Amino acid sequence: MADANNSVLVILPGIVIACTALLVFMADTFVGRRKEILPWIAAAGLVAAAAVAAAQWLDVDELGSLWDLVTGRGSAVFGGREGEAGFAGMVALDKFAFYCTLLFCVIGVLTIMLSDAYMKKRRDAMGEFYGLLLLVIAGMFGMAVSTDLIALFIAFELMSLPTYVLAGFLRGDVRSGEAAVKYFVNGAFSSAVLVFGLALLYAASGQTNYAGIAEAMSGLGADAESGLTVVALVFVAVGFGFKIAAVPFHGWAPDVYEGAPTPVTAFMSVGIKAGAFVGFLKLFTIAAVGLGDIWTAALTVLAVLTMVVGNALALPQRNLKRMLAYSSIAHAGYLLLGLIATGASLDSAGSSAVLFYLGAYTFMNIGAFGILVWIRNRRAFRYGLDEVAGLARTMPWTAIGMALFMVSLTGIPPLVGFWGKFYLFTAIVDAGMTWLAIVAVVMSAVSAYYYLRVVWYLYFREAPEGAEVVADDAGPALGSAVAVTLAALGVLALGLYPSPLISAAQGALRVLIGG
Amino acid sequence: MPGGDFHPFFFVVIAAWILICGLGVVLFRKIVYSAVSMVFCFLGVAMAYALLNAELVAIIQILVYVGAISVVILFAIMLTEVQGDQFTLFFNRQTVFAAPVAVATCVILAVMLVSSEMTGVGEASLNLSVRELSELLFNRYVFPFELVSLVLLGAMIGAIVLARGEGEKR
Repeated sequence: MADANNSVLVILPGIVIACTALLVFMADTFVGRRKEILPWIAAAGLVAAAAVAAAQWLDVDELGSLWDLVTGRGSAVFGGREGEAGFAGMVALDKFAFYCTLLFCVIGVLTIMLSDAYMKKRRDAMGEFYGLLLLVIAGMFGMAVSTDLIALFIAFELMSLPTYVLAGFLRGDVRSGEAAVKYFVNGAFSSAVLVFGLALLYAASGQTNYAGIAEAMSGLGADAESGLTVVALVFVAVGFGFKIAAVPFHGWAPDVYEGAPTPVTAFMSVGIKAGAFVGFLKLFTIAAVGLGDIWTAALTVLAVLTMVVGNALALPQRNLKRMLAYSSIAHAGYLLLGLIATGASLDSAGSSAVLFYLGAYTFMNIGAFGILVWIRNRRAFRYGLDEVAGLARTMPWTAIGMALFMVSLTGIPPLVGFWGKFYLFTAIVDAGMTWLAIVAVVMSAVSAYYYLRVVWYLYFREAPEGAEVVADDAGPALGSAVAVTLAALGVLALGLYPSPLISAAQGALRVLIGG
Repeated sequence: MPGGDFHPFFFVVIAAWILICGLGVVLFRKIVYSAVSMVFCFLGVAMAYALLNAELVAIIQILVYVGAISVVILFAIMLTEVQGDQFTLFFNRQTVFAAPVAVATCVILAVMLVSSEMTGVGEASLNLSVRELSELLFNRYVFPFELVSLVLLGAMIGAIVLARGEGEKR
């Protein structure tokens, strides 16, 4: 069956990730005491998946022949067409999916580096940790390629389920256990709400395929906007809101982010958010494109609440991990603006701004959490704001890195965070919702207080007693240093020269909107 | 309505059965009662499937949920129940706030859904033979099918990770 072969090629990056996960689980039992090889296997798998996605992207763009070299088939497979659908329309690997796959692989590799010192203390659990992490990334890939409600929901579960376990990975720690239970209960509930919404969407259209739903909806004309579709889309938005921790569905986020191991928190705040955003971006902009009014209204309420409440609650936080958790909620609010802009104007500018922001946010936020991991590896550290006071004197490079990420998260030029917000806010203004952009700008100004307060503490406060004490188990922890350095370079380089990422994000969207 | 011979009266009876059993799962104070209530809830769902002419799904529901999963849950309760058999409910204090919200959501949902037509639901026959079902599973739905296997693998390994104490040898 030629069709089946094509289908397999369509999801090849995901197959590579999933097989690497299996390989890590298997290798875990064979390597004996040399567990250090497992993160290398996991990272190599992600790099390979990224290479496959990049080669397919070049092939679709008819730019290069890397793919010819790999397979000898050349463009016969993708034929230079805009992406390829597989499995009877279950998945579509388009430029959007290529962009997302590359992004997910970057997130995964940075997380693996970040967790090296942390996992060296828990060598016995290395196989499970990296294997489950890869399964989550495979689920995120599934979210990006799915063009069918059933595939979307199962990818959503694959993304969610191992994350509950990763959040509770610190077995002896009460807070980690609490994080896992809270995340699991909230996640299970949100999955139920989501699947109910998806079922109603099927009831309204009789289709599970995105394109089929859009067709059925446009066939209904004005009847499409019935109570049924309103309930369906609101329920989908609620399930999605839970996963990205949008207010009022954010209750779990601070406790889970604080209780989970810091590398996992970094991954959750960036990776799970990215996976959820790309999955629902695709669902809303393809399947529910004709019902833009309904889901735009629902998401507008979410966005305003999320930006205001997220930033307001971040203000009094004196625990850096908790502060970053609340700020991560606020950033979900900014990201929602891009989706709203797309729904309101049916223009792809908002969606490409979302893709760009996800890339920018990856570097800033993984960097910020990476600094926390790095300090924690060097000395006693409970993530308190007072504990980083005067850090500029004891650890000057770390302080520079932290200041860089904080300034970028605030959105001050010339760092990448500025460009991210710039494109999102421009998109929402162009969509004719200037008031929403004003709310977002005001809230960004509010966020400057708690981000720049950290910088103030780093440089203008006296160090507390005993800040120089080096932790007993301080190891070299090269991985987290490399991860933070890469993230800092990303923030700087993309801030000064953002056009490659922007054109990639814009190119990724052409196939989605009106395509 | 799907299936053709669908009787609203039977559906109401079965739906009430499922709801009452579901409430039992949440409200019973003894965890074993909750588990048994859940078995009956699963049976009710199986009856709902049968009512929709989906005999195969109904049989699988009984085999997997009523047979396998319920027994495993009962075993798990027996093996882990250490001190006392009284378990207080988790979220007692929030009932006052949660109940009105839940009732309001239900009313809004019912009004919205009853007032609109399920335009998409056709006369599709759900009464598939095993052969037809497997053809669907391994052709059209092979991608979600394989994804489910990864979900199960993740769940299994995750359960082992959480159940095993830190530092314990395997």
